[in-house]
Amino acid sequence: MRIRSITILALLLLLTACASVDVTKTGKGFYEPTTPAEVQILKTLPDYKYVELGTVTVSGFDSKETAKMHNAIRAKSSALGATAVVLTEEGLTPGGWGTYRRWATGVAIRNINSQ
Amino acid sequence: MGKNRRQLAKEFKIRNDCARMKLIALLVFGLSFAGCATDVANRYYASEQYPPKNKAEVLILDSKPTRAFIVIADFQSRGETPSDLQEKAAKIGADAVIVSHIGGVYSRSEEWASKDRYQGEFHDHILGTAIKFTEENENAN
Repeated sequence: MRIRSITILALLLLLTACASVDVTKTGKGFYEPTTPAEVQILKTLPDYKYVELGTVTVSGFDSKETAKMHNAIRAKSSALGATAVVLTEEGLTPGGWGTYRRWATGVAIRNINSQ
Repeated sequence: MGKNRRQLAKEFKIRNDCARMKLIALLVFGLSFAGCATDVANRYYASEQYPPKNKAEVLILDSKPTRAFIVIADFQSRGETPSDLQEKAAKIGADAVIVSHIGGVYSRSEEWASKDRYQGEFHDHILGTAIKFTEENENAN
């Protein structure tokens, strides 16, 4: 009984400590991964030429963890070779006990001038 | 009597719900161990078809090769392995497949953009880019 409670508690802690990032490739071919810290988070389309690489959807962050959520987007989209992610939609969903969870969706892009 | 019947019905419903939950949990657990691929979505770009190869002849790469190449197909799925993508690449006659893992679980404890403790462990999608080396083709011609 005690082990079961500890297991459930551990699972709950693991689930609440983690967020989820769904990255789906929509572009063609292969691009070298980029440095996560260099990935830009944009809300508007850039004025340089770019290619779309994929869609990014992130969920499971606390309502106040906007910057942390941006870092998660950077970390996960860099593997696709993204130089920026244009966030198209963001929102909050009820997380229980009066809390809210933050989510966002966007498009990973690559500046075609970058190698 | 009526109260007992209501209690019995309530208990039966609870047991029934528990059984249903257990069944769902077992199904999810079973499926996670079955290792079945989901969200399989492949694309073929080349205008010509290449003869199939032996799986062992197809290189599995984790970065862009230095040799010139053309991309002939993209594989994308959840639950497949690099070996599965190698097999797919062999079927379409690719010389190599560049494998990468994207998305997945992210720890909310991370503070630096370049740190991701679950990178490569709890990924969401596996990607494979099937390529043909162009230098080899030129030499063959």
